[in-house]
Amino acid sequence: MMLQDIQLMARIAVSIVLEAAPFLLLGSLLSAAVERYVDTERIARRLPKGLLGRMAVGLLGGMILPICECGSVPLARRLLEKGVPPLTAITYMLAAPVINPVVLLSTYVAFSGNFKMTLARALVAACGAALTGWLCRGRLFAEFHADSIRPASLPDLKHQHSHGAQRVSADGCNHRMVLNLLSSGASEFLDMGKYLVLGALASAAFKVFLPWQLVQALAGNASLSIAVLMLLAVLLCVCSEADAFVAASFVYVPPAAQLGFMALGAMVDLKLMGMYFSAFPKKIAWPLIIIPVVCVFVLSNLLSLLMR
Amino acid sequence: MKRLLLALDGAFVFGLGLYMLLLSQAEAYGAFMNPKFRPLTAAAAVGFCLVGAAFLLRPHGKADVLRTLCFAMLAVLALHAGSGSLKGSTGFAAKPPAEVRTDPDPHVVRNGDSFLKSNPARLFLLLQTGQAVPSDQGYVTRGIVKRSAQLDRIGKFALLRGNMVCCLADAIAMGIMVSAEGLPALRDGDWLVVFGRVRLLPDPSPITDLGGTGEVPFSMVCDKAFLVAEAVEKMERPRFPYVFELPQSGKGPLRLTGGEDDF
Repeated sequence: MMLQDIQLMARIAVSIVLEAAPFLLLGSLLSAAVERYVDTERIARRLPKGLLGRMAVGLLGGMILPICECGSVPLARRLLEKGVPPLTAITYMLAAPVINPVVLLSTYVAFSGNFKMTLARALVAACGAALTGWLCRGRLFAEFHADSIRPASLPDLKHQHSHGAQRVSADGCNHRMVLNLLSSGASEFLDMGKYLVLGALASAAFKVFLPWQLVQALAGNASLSIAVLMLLAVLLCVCSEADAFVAASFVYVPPAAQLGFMALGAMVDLKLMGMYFSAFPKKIAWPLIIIPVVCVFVLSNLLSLLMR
Repeated sequence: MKRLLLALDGAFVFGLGLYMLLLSQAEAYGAFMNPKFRPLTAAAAVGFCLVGAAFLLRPHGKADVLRTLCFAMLAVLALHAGSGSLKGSTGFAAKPPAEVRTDPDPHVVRNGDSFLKSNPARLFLLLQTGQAVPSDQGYVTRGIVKRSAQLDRIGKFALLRGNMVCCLADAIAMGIMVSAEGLPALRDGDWLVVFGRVRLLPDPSPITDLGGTGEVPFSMVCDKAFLVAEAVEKMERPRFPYVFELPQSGKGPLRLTGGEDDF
């Protein structure tokens, strides 16, 4: 291992953290704000009872609240804790990084006004998110609504938050409210941030030491290119705001492989995998990884037939 | 122990904010992120300083050794990453370069011939997306030499430039094959200025054995055309080794994106 490679790896890892950290901080602060100031229980009671309605609310939330994948995880976890139905929260968490107007516009621009590609990306991501939410809803309901999730960590968050809220109301002091909110946000960021750091390091190591010649050779094969680009999406941890431009640069591969790269990367990558295991129990984290992978692979192959 | 770990956590968040603030004002930023994101990084840096300070004043949640170690590792990585491959050791001290500059004269005149400035990534995007290139148009481009067995067999080398969209993680070295006669011995990593004209390849075949460049671990070279060099000159590595081209660059009006080093 050469010193130059190690330095490059360090620089790539730091660049991933620099890129993702602002969005993770935003998500953490939103999560802390939701915990303290939003009466989500009341909102949750007003949500539609039907599956389609709950899915639609999750997707609509993703469209109107632009947030990167790093920010959506802590926010979705908090929404689940506050009683939002799992189908809505998970659909929102997975879809929001892709189907928001900012990302769709960047996809449209990156593919030089290719509306079909933009629509296909939104459809694949929305289907993957809704399907994952639908398949995970039972387990999530049992975990969150039975109040048994991660007894070692989350109850502590709840404990601190509720006490903080009580202190706030007792003191009635604005600056203390702000201090508590910022400190809660920092705590949330630190909890998720450790997985961001580990994921960034793993991604950087893959990027520097992966035999790219082999990847290029495999990508030349039409039947393998979708799987190869999906693997790259997981390994590279590219932000959903920018991944369309990276995908569009892969001019050697068919559009379906570019689509697979864009649709999966915002739902599953190395840093997100760590965050899922941090935010959810293993029996929920694994489906959050596996279902989108299968769904995106199948849909990208199907769409590749239509896009020929 | 718990108080110490929580204090360290707060210090790391505050330190991350300071690091981002310093980096956002430094030339070295371009070795990590596309300079257009400077305002975002600076704004986030202020946020990190605030939440870090709040956490130091009022620690929150449980201490976690793994968490503290992860952020300590991030600090070590940041120190080791330094100022990247920006030339010289003053990357953190120097002021950032002009990020977007339209050069009043995009041409270079050499021996009476006019050559259009274009970086290798821009040429890659222009040619690979099938844009028509006038055969009489001369180009001057600068990049890193990359050789491979496949390229040696066809008597060419690749001229590449690291192209960053958002951050270094998404950077890809892009470029064009070059053929030249009477070349000095070239090694991987040499920086060259090449004056030449584009010739389309009748039978394109992908080059799949390139690997990385040292600046960027993944490379792509245009397989539809190559540059017939009329002159090749060795050069020092430029102060700003990356470019920030988007796929539609090949279609857009002529403009330079990274200041005077961007061709």
